[in-house]
Amino acid sequence: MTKYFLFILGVMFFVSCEKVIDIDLNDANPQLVVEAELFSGTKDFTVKLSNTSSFFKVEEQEFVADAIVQLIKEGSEPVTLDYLNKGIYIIKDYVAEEDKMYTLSIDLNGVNYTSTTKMPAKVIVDSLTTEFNPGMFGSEDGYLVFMHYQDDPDVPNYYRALFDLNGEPQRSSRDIYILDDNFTNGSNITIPLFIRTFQEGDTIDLSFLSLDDKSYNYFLTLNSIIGNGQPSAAPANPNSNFTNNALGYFAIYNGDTQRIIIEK
Amino acid sequence: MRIIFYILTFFITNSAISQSFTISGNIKDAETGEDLIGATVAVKELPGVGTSANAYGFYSLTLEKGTYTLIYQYIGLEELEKSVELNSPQSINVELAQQSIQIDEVVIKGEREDANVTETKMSVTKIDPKDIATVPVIFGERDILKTLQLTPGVKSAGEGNSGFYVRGGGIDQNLILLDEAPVYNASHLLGFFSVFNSDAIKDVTLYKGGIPAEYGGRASSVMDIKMKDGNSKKLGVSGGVGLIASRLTVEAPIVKDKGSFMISGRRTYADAFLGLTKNEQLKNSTLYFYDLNAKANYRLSKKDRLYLSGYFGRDIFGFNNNQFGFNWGNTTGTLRWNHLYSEKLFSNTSIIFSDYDYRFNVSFAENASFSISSGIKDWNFKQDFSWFPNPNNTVKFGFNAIYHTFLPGSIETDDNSIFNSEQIPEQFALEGAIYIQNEQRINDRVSLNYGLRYALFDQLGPGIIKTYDGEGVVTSETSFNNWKSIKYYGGLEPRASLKFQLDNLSSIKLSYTRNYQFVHLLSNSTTTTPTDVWVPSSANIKPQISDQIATGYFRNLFDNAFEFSIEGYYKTLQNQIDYKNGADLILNPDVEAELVNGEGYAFGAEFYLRKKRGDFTGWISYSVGRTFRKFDEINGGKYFPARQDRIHDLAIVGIYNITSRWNVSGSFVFYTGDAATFPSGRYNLEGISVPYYTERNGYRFPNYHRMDLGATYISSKSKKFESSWNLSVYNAYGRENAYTIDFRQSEDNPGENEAVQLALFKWVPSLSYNFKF
Repeated sequence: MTKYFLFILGVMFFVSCEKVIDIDLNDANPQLVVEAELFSGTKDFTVKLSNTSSFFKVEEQEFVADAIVQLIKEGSEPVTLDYLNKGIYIIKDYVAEEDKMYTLSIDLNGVNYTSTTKMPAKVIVDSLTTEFNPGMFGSEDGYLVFMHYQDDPDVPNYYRALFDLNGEPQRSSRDIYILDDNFTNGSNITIPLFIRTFQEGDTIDLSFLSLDDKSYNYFLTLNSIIGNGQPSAAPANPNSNFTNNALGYFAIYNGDTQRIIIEK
Repeated sequence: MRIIFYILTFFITNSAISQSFTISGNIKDAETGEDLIGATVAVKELPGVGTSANAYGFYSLTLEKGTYTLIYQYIGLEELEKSVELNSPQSINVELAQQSIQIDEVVIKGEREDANVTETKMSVTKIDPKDIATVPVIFGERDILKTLQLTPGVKSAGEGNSGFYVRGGGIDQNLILLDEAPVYNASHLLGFFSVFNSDAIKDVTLYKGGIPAEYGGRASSVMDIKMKDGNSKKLGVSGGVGLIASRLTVEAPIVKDKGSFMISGRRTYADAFLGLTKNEQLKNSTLYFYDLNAKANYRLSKKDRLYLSGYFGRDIFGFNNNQFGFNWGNTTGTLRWNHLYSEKLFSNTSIIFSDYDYRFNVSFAENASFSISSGIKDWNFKQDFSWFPNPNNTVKFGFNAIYHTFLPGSIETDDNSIFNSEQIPEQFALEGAIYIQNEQRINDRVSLNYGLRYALFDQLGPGIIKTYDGEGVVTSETSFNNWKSIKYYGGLEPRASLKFQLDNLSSIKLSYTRNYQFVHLLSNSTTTTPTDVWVPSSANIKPQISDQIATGYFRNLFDNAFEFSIEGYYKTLQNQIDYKNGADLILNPDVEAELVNGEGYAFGAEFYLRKKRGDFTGWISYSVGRTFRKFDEINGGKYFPARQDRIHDLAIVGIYNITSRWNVSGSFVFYTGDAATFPSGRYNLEGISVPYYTERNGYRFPNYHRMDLGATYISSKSKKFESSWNLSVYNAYGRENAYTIDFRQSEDNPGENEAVQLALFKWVPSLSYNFKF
């Protein structure tokens, strides 16, 4: 909201201006960052470990290669991930099951970082449709993709949409698209993927996924510091679901992927 | 014990005058009939003895039988002497005329020339809107809140913002009263304008410390704003036309010298400029506000007077044919009855209404429309008495009871919308207070103001007490029926100030104030926004408590032409509120689980030098201070500087009358940048560069400074018609002050991060035309 006000005020008085400025920032001690995404069904499970670095410094990410990373399904023996490269640990063709609790455990330099998350019930997208949209809220003309699905009225639901555009996964800062059912519980929902508009001929492979409340909360708080959503007066690190102040997340997704090609 | 005994002795001996009579009446302005709040009455034969008019222009003075000469004074008006043969109670109403030598200088109005030194009150700033008419302001819209920000101990909430911080307190810790009615959101257009139209305002008093017991309800300060009563002598019209807003005020007698009314309106039309843009969406957008002040008063009899006043204002914002619609505003109303039970006992009874609400409409698709609304509504009954037993004591006592209705939020949709209608239950509370205070002159050197206020707050049913675990999950619920007490809080608020006169020109003062605050503003943004929500104290939210001690040295120089003061203060704050990371404050039935509870303190010193008379007038104000907060859940439980911890804050204001027609003015402000949270590192996630934060408010914005210039030309000036042109330039040397700083991936070079500053209002010229007849 505030953005629109400022925009209009700016237009009214022709006065706002942006510029890059120099600010001295401290260098914090490096902190472990975890990126772990477990998809339902049979897929490779990967975990990426890295360290934080100076804010302005242009350098390669510092990867963590010497950690012991284990995945524990409730009631089963731990499975240790193999180190691949560039901070990535992997289990090939892992079978992840619905309604099971999963714990990710990382041992590094004598510190243990863990996170436990439940595989939520699967969300099914009934269909995808497109509609032409003459530029709205400052965006360019193009097609919006609408998702149609039925929200489960009995439980709180949290969703995330991931998509590939013409075969390329889209993972920029504006692509973290999440939804909850706070005000739409139990509805038959039609909602646009309003972060993007597409052009004729585009092929979109859209994965609409459900996730648990803690992972959702992570992306919600992540969005507020990377320029999506309401900017906060007091920015803080996203609410990680790991112990011992590790940054990042362990997210478990359950859903499916549908393809739509934009036609006139 | 001994001290109390002495005080009692003074009190009793002074009131046990053998044969004494009371002189009482009203003091008014001869030209307009406006009551002169704070006008003084001195007795020539008894130096040091006297009184001053209360908020309704009423005074009462009890003296021994005899012959006296009374001197009535109000700065800027002709002094009046009256001889009195006192052998029976007397009613004397006086009217003070304009000074016969018309000087076009800006006169700082006040009680008396040396009030600064002689009054017991400290930490008080008074402003008469007429005095600030020529101080340059943004968009040429003079604004009492922005002028107050140029005085010591008061800090602006940001560029062009009418929100303010007092002595390290928060924006929501200021009680803003408009004719006794609390104003819950005092800003228009995101704070760039205040809701107070200067044309309708008679007098503003800001209490930063040493707050008298008659006021209470907020932790930091009280701003008491009084509307004009209206000209009771003749019809008067005044107004102004500016680049973005116009104003018109009409005032006239209802019955000459018995009653009058005033009505004042203002409307902005800056969004007319949107029509000039090429963007279709902006062309179809609206953004404006209006407000209306109205007041009437009528004297029913010698002993009774009625006042009715009201404020109504709204902001309207619509984006692209109301795809987004947003409107918000305040409504207040006050009905007052002044009654004289005797010439020594003055009573005022008020019934006060106040309402703030906002409404937000979205309709971006056929089946995706909804509207959200929220607000707060108050009904207040207030009874105040002033008792004037003798010239050395003025006792005030009274009580009030406010019934609050909180509307935390509701969402409304139509049938085919995917959104569900939902209403978070309303909350109810009774807030009350009872107080007594005495202003006592002990001798020529020492005077005291001491009082006690008991404040209470009772959250009432229907409602639910919920308890939460550490993760914000509801662990128990208890329901309460209508009018059942859900949670009761109450506490004593001692208030005291002492003045010790060193000599005719200087004094030292000391004060202590305790304040309870039972209503809290939830706001997660850096400026006051319309969506801020007020919530009551409850089982999970404790009342805020502040304690402040202040001391000061006051001195006037060069026959009271200069006024100088130094004040120091120390303040502690209990039960402060902050938010959990990612807190959802809008339409959240469990918003109480999103809050964290902590404490704070503030200290500082304020220097003030003001030149009140002559062709050149103005002031220098410098404050130095710190303010900290502490929450277990934030910053590892360590104290951190609050956002408004600005350390240095300097304001210089000058007004120079070159000729009787031309005057120029300028102001300069400098302050330390706000404390802010900046990243101390970064990391990559999903290919996104994410900032890494290590401590709350560990960094600072760049220092802020700015100069504004203005010039006023009086194009005509006669008894019948006055008009003037005012030209001003805001931010005259085009300083780019940071409004926000964004830390983000460089657009040109995605591998790199950069800090991007947004500056508003590089320089803003404005022109306005004002008239009066």
